Amino acid sequence: MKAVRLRVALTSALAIFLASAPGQTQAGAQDAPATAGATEAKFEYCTTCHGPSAQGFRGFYTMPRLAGQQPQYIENQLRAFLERRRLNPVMANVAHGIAPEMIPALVARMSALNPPPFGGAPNGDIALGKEIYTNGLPDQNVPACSACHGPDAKGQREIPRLAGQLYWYMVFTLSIWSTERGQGGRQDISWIMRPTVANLTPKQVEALAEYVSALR
Amino acid sequence: MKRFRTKMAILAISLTTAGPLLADDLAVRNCTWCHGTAAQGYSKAPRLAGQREDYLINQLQAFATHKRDEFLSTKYMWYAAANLDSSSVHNLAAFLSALPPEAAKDGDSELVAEGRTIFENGVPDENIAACQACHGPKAQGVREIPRLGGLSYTYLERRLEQWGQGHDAWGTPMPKVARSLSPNQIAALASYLSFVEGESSEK
Amino acid sequence: MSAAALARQSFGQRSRLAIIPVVLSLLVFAIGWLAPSPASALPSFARQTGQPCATCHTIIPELTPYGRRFKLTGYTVRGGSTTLPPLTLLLIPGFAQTAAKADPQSGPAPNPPGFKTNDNFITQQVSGYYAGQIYGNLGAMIQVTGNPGEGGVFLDGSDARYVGQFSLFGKDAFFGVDANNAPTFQDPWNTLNDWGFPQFSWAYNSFGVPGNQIDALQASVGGAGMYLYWNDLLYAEFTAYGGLNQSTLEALGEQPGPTPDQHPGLMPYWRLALEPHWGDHYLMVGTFGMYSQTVPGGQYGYGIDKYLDVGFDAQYQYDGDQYSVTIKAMDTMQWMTLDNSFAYGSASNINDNQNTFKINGTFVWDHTYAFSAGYFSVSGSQDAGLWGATSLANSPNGNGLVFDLSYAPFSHGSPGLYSTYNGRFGVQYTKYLELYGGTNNFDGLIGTPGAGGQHNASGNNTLWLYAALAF
Repeated sequence: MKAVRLRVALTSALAIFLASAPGQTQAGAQDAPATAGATEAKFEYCTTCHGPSAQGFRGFYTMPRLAGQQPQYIENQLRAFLERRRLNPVMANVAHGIAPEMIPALVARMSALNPPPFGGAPNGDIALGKEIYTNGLPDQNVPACSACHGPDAKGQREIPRLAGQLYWYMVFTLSIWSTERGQGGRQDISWIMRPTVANLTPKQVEALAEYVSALR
Repeated sequence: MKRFRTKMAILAISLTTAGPLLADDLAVRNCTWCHGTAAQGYSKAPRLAGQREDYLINQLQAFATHKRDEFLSTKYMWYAAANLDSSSVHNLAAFLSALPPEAAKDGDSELVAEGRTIFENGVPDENIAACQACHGPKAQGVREIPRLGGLSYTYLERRLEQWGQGHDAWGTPMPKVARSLSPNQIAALASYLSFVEGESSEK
Repeated sequence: MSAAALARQSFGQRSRLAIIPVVLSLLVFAIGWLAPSPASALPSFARQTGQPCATCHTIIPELTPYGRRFKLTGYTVRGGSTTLPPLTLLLIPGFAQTAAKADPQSGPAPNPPGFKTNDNFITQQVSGYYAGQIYGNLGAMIQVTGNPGEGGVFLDGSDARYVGQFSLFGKDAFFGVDANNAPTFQDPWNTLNDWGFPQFSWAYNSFGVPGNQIDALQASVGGAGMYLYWNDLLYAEFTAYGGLNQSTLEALGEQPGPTPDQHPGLMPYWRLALEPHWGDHYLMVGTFGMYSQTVPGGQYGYGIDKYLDVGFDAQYQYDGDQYSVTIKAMDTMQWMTLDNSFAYGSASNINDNQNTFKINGTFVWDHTYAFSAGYFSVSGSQDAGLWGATSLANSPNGNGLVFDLSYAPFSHGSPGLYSTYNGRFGVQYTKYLELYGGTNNFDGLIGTPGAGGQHNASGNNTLWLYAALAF
C-alpha cells in the first residue's frame, strides 16, 4: 500500500510538474506561467478593445474604461464572467484565457493608468446627473451614489470607479442590469444594485452617465 | 448615302436629348468604373455599397491627405480622391452607404466555420481580440467602423496583411490585431466574412 | 499620274485595271496590321480622370481591366482637375531596317519623300485626338491622322458613345450607343483587328500578310450600334455599318481617289464576350463577326462581293501588383463570294476562304518594361486573280513572329509641370516565315524588270526602333 501511495504521489507530482513546465501551449492559458512577457502580451490584448491606455473604446459594443479601476472590482468581474454570473460571451472567453496568476499584475497595471476621460458624451443634463449622484432621489428610493462610489466617483474595494466611465457603457449597463448582471443570485455582489437600477428612469440614467463620464 | 446620314442624324438627336437624362449617375460612375457597376466591388476595388457612411468619408479624406498609404491606395485612390470637394465626399458616401450590399462569396467555404469562431470569439490564447466587439456580431460595422460582412476575400486578406506589415491605422487597433494573425487565420477570417450577408447601412 | 488615271486613259471609262486599287488597298491594309492607326495611352484621358497611364494600361495601349471599363463607360469618367478640352497629340517616329532592301520603285504608294530602300527614319504617324468626355454621358475618341510624307489628313478610327446604366434581370448593366467608322475599334479587349498586338508596327514594309475584310473596311465606313455590359461579366454588341459615298469619303480624307469601294446595304457586326474574373485574374472568351458587301472600285454591274467573317477570341490577363501578363488569341474565318471580282476578272474563283490567326503574349513589369511575343498566320484559298501578282503559288498564305521590347518610363506620371506626357520607346523585330505561299522567291518575280531582286519572306524581316510620343 505504501508503495502504491508513493507511486501515485510521485506520478501526481510529475503530472503537476509537467503541466506547469514552460513552453506548454496546448494545455490552456490557465496553466501557462505568468511570465513578464506573457503578462505584457495579455495587457496588450486587453487594450485592443479597451483602448491603448485602457480609457475605453466605442466599437459596436462599448468597451468600458479599465484605467484607474478598483483592482478588486476588476478581479470580481473577471470571475463573474468566467462563472457566467455576468453574461457576456466575449468576455467569458477572454476571462477563460487569463491565467489566474497573471491577474494581480494585470489588474495593477490597469489601476495605475490615468488617461483623460474618453469623452464624446452629450452634456445637457450634467447638472441633473450631479444632483442625483450627490444626493440621490429619496422619493424614488434611490440612494446617493456618492455614498458607496465615493464623492469623487473613484470607488473603493469591490465598489467600482465610475469617474471617466464611458457614457454609452453606463447607459447600456444600467439598462441590462437585471438580465446580465448578478445572475448568481443574492450572493453575487452585483445583486446589490438591482433595486437602485430598477428605480431609475432612463432619463435619469442618462443624466448620471453624462455626469460621471466627464469626471476625472 | 441617305441611309447613313439618316442614321447619324437619329443618333445625334437621341444622344443630345438623352444626355442630361442619366447624368445624375455620373458622379457615382467616377467610382463605379473601378468599384463595379453596382458598387459591389470589382477585383482589387472593394465593395462600396452598404459601407458605413462615416467610414467612407474618413477613407476618402485619408486618400486625399495621403494618410492612407498602402500600395493600391497610392496607385489608384490617391488620384481618385485628389479633387473631390467636401460636398462630393459627403454626397457620394451617403449614396453608396444606402445601397444594399451583396456578399462577394469568394472565400474558401471550408474555412468559414473556423473564421466565424475567430470573428466572434477572437483567439484569447493567442491574445487576438474578438472582431465582433468593434465590428458587430454580423460584421455590420457602426459609425466610422467599417462593415466587413460580404467584402471580398481578396480585399480582406490584403488589408490584414498590410496592417501586419506595419501600415498605420491612425489609432485603431488593426495593426496589432493583424500582426497577431497567422496566414491561416487571415484566410479563415476573410473566407468567413466574404459570405456574410447584410442590409444597407442605416444611420 | 496615279495608277487609276493611267488605267482610265488606256481603257476609257470602265477601267479594267481597277484591280490595281483593289490590290493596293489590300496591300495597304496588309502592311503591318496598321488599320486604322491606333492610339497610345492618351494624356487627355489622364488629365480627365486624374489617373496616371498605369491605371488603365498595362503598357500603352494595352488595357488593364480598369482601362476596359473606362472605355465601356463611355470615356466619361472624371476625377482630374482639368477644365481643358480633351485634346492630345501623338507622334510615332521610328527607324526601320529590313533584311532585304526594298525595290527601288516598289513599296506602298505613295512613299513619303526621302524614302530610301532601307534604313529609313520616318515619323510614320502624326495624330490629333479629341478623346474624353464631350458632355454628360457622351464621350468620344476622335482621331485625325496625317502622314507627313504623303500629305493630307484623314479621319482615322474613331468612336463616339453615349453610355447609361440600368438594371436587367436584377443586376446592374451599362448600355452604350456607339457610332464609329472602323469595325472593332470600339472593342475594349486587345484581341481584335484594331487593338490587337502589335498595335504599333512599321508602316512601310514592301510586303505583308493580307488583312481580312474587317481590316479593309477600316475608316471607310460609318456605323452605329448598341452594346450591353451586364453585371461586370457579359458584353454583347450589335453594330450596323453602311458605306460612305465618294464625296463623304473625300470630305473625311478617307480612300482618296476617284474609284473608292462602295458598300451597298447595311453590314451587320456582332460581338459577344464573357469575362469572369477571380482575384487579379481575368479570362475573356468571345466571338464576333461581320457580314459585308463590297462593290470594288465602285464598279457596279458585275454583282457584289460578299464577305462573312466569323471569329473567336480569348484573352487571359493577370493584373498583379508588380507585373501583368496578358495572353491573347484570335481566329477569324472568312468566307468570300466574289461575284463582282470574279465577273470583273480580278478574282479567279467565286468562292474563296481565308483564315487569320494570331496568338501573342505580353509581360509588363510595373507598367514600364514590356516584352511581347506573337505569332500571326493567314491562310486561304489559292486564287490567281487575287494573289497572282505577288504570289507564285497564287496563295495569300503567310505567317511569322513578332517580338517587341518596350520601355514606357512615364506610366506613373511624367516629371515637371507637365505630368501627363507619355512615351513608349521600343525595339520590334518581325520575322516572316512565309509570305504569299512561299519562302524564297515567293512572287516568282526574280529577274523581272523593275523587281529589285529575289523576294524572300525573310527579306521582309524588319527591325524597328520606335517611339510613340503622346502629349
